[in-house]
Formats: sequence, structure tokens, C-alpha cells
Amino acid sequence: MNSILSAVGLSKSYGGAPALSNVSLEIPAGGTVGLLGPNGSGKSTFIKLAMGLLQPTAGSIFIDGKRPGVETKRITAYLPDANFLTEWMTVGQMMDYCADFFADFSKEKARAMLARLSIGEKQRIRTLSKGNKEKVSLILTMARNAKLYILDEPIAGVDPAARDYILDTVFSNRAPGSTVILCTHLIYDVQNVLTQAVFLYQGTVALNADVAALCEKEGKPLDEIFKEMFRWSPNY
Amino acid sequence: MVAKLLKHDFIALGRIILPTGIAVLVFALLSSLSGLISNGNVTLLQALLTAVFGIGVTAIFILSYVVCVKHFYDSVFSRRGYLTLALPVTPMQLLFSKVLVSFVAILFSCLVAVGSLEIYGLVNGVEIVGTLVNGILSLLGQNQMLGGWIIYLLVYFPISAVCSLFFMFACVAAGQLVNKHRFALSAGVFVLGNWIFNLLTSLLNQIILTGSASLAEAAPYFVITVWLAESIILGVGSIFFLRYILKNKVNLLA
Repeated sequence: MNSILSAVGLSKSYGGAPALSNVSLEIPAGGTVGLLGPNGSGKSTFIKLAMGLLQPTAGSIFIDGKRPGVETKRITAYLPDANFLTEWMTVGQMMDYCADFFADFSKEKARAMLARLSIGEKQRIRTLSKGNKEKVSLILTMARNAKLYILDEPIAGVDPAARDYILDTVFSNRAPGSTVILCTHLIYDVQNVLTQAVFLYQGTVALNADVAALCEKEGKPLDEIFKEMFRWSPNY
Repeated sequence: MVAKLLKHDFIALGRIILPTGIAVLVFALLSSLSGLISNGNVTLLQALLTAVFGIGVTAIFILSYVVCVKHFYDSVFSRRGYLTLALPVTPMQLLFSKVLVSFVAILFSCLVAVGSLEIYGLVNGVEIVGTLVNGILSLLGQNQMLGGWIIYLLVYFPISAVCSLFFMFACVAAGQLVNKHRFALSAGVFVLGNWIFNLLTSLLNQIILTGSASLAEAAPYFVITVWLAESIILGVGSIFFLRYILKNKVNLLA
């Protein structure tokens, strides 16, 4: 199977402090991958390297066989763990902005998702609540028919209803055949939708497995496996 | 993609620069008209409008630079950078768009300043810009050396402005090297960088232009070519630094 994302000996240090150390992994196209790990395990660093926002100290990362750059950004929809919206714009202007730059952006999809939330295109971003800003960010990301979706902590700090909305939006709007990488430390909430789990711990890959096979082998759900793996760690 | 970047940068800067420019022109008109209505007696309203007009003309220059620098920081290095830097464009396309649009914004503010002076003059029966242009044309006819200076300065200023913008953006980008006190670092780099640049260019000018009896007597093309070269070195150095930061040292806040 073709891999949509691969890392080979990937390392990243910040001023000598390692954030990722010699990470090698392959993510096959088409699945839903959980990039899981406690806070500070290197998840966001990995994602920033995949998006070309950071350069590796050593090793390489490839998306669809290419190093992060213009070509990979065309096929990757990225939801960062920060409000990236332009406050003075309206929701409609933000849609136009995304549609201008991403050929795979579907305004129809975006409008349908906005209608579900009763958010008007003429509403200014600055007038939206924090929760609605997060939802609009998600809508702008999922309105793309991308090959790869990278979602950084999409369900962190949201109530259960919002969490269900987010996960439903992701899975009912992803492009057919696409890959979703969900980066989170809230394993319980996402374990049922994952096909592959990558546990990162202190910048290294602690586990990389097919979720169904792993749970069957261990006879317990993914979050239990995660808890057991990291329970006795003094740093967790 | 560059056209799309330009479009969105024009929209972002235009929403601030355009109304400000129009406001300055309106104040120029109001201030001039109030002078006519009061028949030479200075009223409080006239004094106020003239003061606002005067401040507006000065402020639009400063404002245009501030707005351009802030727009660059906000769209590239603030949280909005997560989207900007995820766009399928190269760092050079991004820089080109920001600098070109900023240059147009600064040019617009110059035109507003000249236009508002012209409005003020026309209402009061003095053709300021026309007199200035006639004066320059007359000087061009009388003194070829002075004419040369003017022509070369017209070439020098746009290039120098673009290079200055690259330098200012490089100073903003320097803030990415630290996690805290980014504004302080950017401001420090700007002040120090300017001081070093001015020191070096002063020394260089003294060495290169020693052969000329005085700056006024030196051939304008020679003096301004030296100035241009200095500006271009600053601009190119800034571009390399900006590319390095955008490629290797982006440090966006969460």
C-alpha cells in the first residue's frame, strides 16, 4: 500500500533539547491515524515538520513521496491547535480566501456545514464565540477535498456535544480515499474511529500498530493500553 | 498564486490605508474651506481642522509604514501564520506580495500628502504642486547637474523604499529567534541595524566619494549609484535573512 506520510530518522531539537529523536514511521493512505501521546511528547513538532513549518535537525519527512513544500501543501488540509482565522474578515471572506488558494476547497461543502451550525457567511469572525471560531476553522479545513487531513488537537478543551460534532464533521466530510491524522492526547474520545495508532513518548515512537489487531491481541481498548504503557512513567 | 496573494494583501492593507487617505483629503478640503468661510479670521474650528490636517499628513506616512509592518507580522508570524504558511506558495512569493503591496501603500500615502497640499493650495488660490513641477522643470533647463540629481533621486527613492521594507520585515522576522520579548528584539535589531548600516555607508561614502570636491559637485549618477548599491546590499541581505527565518526558524505562537 502506498504511504501518504513517511518519516525516516526524523529528529528535531530546540536549542539542544530534543523534541523528536530518530522517528521512523509509515502512514498508509486511506486510514484514520491517531498520533497519540501525552503533552510534550512531540506530536505538534511532528505535525509542524510535516507542514514545513519547521525543518528537521536530522532525517527526512515525506508527504505523498515529496518533502514538505508547495506541492505537499496543495494536497494537505491542516487544522492547527490555534485560532488562525483573520478577525476582521467575515466567514464568507475567509471562505473566499481559502477557495482562492486551495483548488480542492468546496464552498458548497463549507456552506452546508455552516448551515448546520446556523452561522451566516456575513458574520464577522471577531463576533463569533470561541467555540464557533474553532468550528469555523474545522469547517474551512474539512471543506477541502484533500488527500491528507492533519488535525492538531481538534477536540481538546471542548464539551462532549462539541466533540461529537467535531468528529462527525471530520468523518462525514473527509474526501473519499483520504487519510486523516488526528493528533490528540484524548485517546478515549477517538479510539473507536482510529485504524492506526502511533504512540509518541518523549520524542520517540513508543508504539505503531493497527488498532483493531492491537486491541484484539491485548484484549482491551486502546486507552487502556495507553494508560498501561505510560502509567509507571515518572514523567507522565 | 502571486496574483491571489496580491489581491488579499491589497484588501488587507486597503481597508486601513484607503479610508485614512480619504479622511486626510477630506480634512484638507474642510480645513481650506473653513479658512475661506472665516474671511481671514482664525476660528477655533479652523485652527482645529488645520491642526488635524497637518497631523494627518504627517501621520499617514508613519501610519502606512506601521500598518505594513503590522500586516506582515500578523499574517506571517502571528497565529494567522498557521494558515498563511500552509498556503501552497513559496516564501519568496509571500515576501514579494507583501513588499509590493506595502510599497504601493506607501506610494499612496505620498500621493495623499501631495494631493491634500494641492487641495489646500487650490482652495486658497495657490497652485502648490503646479508651482513645484514648474520650478523643477525650470531647474532642469537651467542646471543640468541639478536636473540629473532630480532624475536619479526619482530612481533611487522607489528602490530604496523597497529595500527599506525588506529590512523592516527582516527585523520583524528576527523576533522569531526568541520565545519572549519578540517586539523588543525586533525593535533592537531595527535600531542597531540602522545604526550599523548608517555608520558603514557613511564610511564607505567618505572613501568612495573622496575624489569629489564636494557632494554637490560630484556627478549625480555616481553618488546615487553608490547610494543605490548600498540600499540594494541592505535589501538583498534582508531577503536572505527573511528566507532563512521563513525556512528554518518559524516559531509561531500556539
